[in-house]
Amino acid sequence: MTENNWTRRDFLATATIGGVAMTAGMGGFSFEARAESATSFLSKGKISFGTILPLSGGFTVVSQPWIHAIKYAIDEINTAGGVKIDGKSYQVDNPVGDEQYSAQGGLTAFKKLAADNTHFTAGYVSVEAPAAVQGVNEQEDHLMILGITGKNLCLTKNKLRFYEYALAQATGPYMAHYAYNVLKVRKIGSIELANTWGEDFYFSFKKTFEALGGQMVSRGFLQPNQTDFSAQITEMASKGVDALYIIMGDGPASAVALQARQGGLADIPILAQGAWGPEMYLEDQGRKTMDGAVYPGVVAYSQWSDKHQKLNDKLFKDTKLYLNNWFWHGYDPTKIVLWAMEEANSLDPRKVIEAIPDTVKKRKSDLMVQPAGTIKTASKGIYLKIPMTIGRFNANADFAKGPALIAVKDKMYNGFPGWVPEKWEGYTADPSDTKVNWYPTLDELKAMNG
Amino acid sequence: MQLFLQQAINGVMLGGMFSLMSIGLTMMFGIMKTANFAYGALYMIGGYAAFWASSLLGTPYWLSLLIAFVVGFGMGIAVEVIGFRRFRGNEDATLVFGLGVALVARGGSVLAWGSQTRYIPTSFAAYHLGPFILPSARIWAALASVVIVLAVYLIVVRTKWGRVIRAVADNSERAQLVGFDTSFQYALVAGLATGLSAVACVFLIPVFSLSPTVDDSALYTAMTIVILGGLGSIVGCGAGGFIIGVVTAFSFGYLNSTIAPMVPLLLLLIVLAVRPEGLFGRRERAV
Repeated sequence: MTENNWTRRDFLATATIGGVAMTAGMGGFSFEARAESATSFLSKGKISFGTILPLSGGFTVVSQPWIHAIKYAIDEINTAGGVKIDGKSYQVDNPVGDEQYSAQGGLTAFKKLAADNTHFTAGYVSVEAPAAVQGVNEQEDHLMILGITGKNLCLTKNKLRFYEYALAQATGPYMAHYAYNVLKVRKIGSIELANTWGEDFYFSFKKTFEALGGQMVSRGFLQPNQTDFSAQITEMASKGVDALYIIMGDGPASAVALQARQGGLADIPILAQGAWGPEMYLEDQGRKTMDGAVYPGVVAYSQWSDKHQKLNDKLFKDTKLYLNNWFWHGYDPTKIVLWAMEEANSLDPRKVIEAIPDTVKKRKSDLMVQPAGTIKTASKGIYLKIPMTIGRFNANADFAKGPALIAVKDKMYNGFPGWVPEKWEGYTADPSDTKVNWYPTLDELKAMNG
Repeated sequence: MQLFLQQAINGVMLGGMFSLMSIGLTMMFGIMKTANFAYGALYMIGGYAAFWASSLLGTPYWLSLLIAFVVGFGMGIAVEVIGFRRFRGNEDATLVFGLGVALVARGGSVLAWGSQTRYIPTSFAAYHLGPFILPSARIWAALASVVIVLAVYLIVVRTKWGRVIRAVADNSERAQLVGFDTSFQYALVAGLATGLSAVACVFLIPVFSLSPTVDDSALYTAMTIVILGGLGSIVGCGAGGFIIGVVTAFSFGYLNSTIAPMVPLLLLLIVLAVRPEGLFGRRERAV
């Protein structure tokens, strides 16, 4: 058959035969894939549940409790016989990648784990690392368990994301309400980490605080490696603020608090977001600086039980640190995902994430963070409905035997919803859409709940 | 206007602290011609030595300072004898050795002291000068800076030992030929420079606190100031510190913090474009 003899009929016949052959081939391939599905998500015969958190530098203090919480949850599941799929039990491996608190570090760690057939990772303490991984995770059939808030991070599209913590949009309004009505604060100076995480807390707080009649008179920004805050503190002091809102945790936060106390803001209340834990109060100076700081934590942070005691003892033995909010990022969410594998009877992340709502419903009483359920979205993954409690740090507590965070008395601030109701347009809208009410006030949140 | 003046005061105090942070590195550059990338780590360990003395032994602040100096002095001699002496003249090896020491020191610090922020007890006292606030911790650090930088300058320029180490710095082979033990002099300078960096760290703990991350910020700040002032220039270290301090205070006071950290570096680039040897550095002469 020469090129000149190539008729339409010949073309159609050849194309049809080719198409049938290709379809048959692909069908065979997909049959092959289905046949492998039970084992194709395993790594060396085990389920690989990875952790990506900084292993060095200033955020080690945050990552250590988180890393260990994930490990303890996995150890408990392994000790109980592992994860049961199709009647067979699989042990869980827990490789750890170094996030380095950077986009490049997080992505490199992710790719290395993905190359080793890891399809589940938890952690990600920075904004930059998970932002770099998101999108890539879907291509790799990889479920991210993420807990850092910020609309440009956790309200973007991602079908393989299980968001395990409270949204800034939910906690900010309650903090503002507490500041205005209980602390009787009217003028606030704030300093925030300069990214979407910090911005969300700032605006979530501001909208409610201003609606109540308060004023945000000074807004400062900080970088994670910044050490001197005298310029921002000076500006706040010059504006006569009567509370300081620090939207950042640990190293930089304690430096801000210390320098504020020295720089003319010695007696005003401190409101805090981010990584605040007993490690900040270990010495006299830390106690003097930050005792009584107001903080929204998960309910488990201000409670104590035999289980708390055992976990606290174990964590202290391993890290010389005590239970804090970061521990609760890792412990229960890891269990939820491992149990969801059994619920789905599959290791396919797309099936596992679908099983998370039923898993949370069924295992609610086994979870220390006491979730109220989940919010399942069409394109943004699943959000855990996690209750929160406003507390004040008791720097003189015995951290070996009880919580550092003491829940405030008013019931309104105990176990309040750390999520925005399902009907919120933020669960479907693009984060760049300026028409969306990204920062509802407390009244608007309550109205959404009906 | 009051806010502007307060930021200027903040800048001067911060500048003093920056000079204090940099004086040890200046000495190592100027006298030993050594780019010590372990500087920040040794500075940090000096701080931890004082913290340990204060928290475990309950030593008073002045004694913690002395302990930090002694520990720093010992570490300086150790890194000189173990590494810098052997690699002198080989810049790549010196750099890798310094970075290696820094990595080990940082990892070791996390193991020894944990990654949490540490403090040495201090007061929140602040002096009020009219409408202006002068935190006592910053005042003391800035005053210590003036005293220490001036003392180093006088030692190097006006004393007999200063003439010796200047001779060694100028031409070590010639100094050796006329009978000076250059190895001994280098070890002494390394010890003194590191000891002073440890003292600087202790003075700055009440302001910045202490954690395994202070090494990076100390190294970068000190490098910026030493390069701006002129490699090895003690006067340049003092002036560079104050300039960077004031520029930093105004940048963070009036610009967004995403832009503010770039301003001191931009100033450094402009200065280097005009004077590659830095503000007070000596231009290398072709032989």
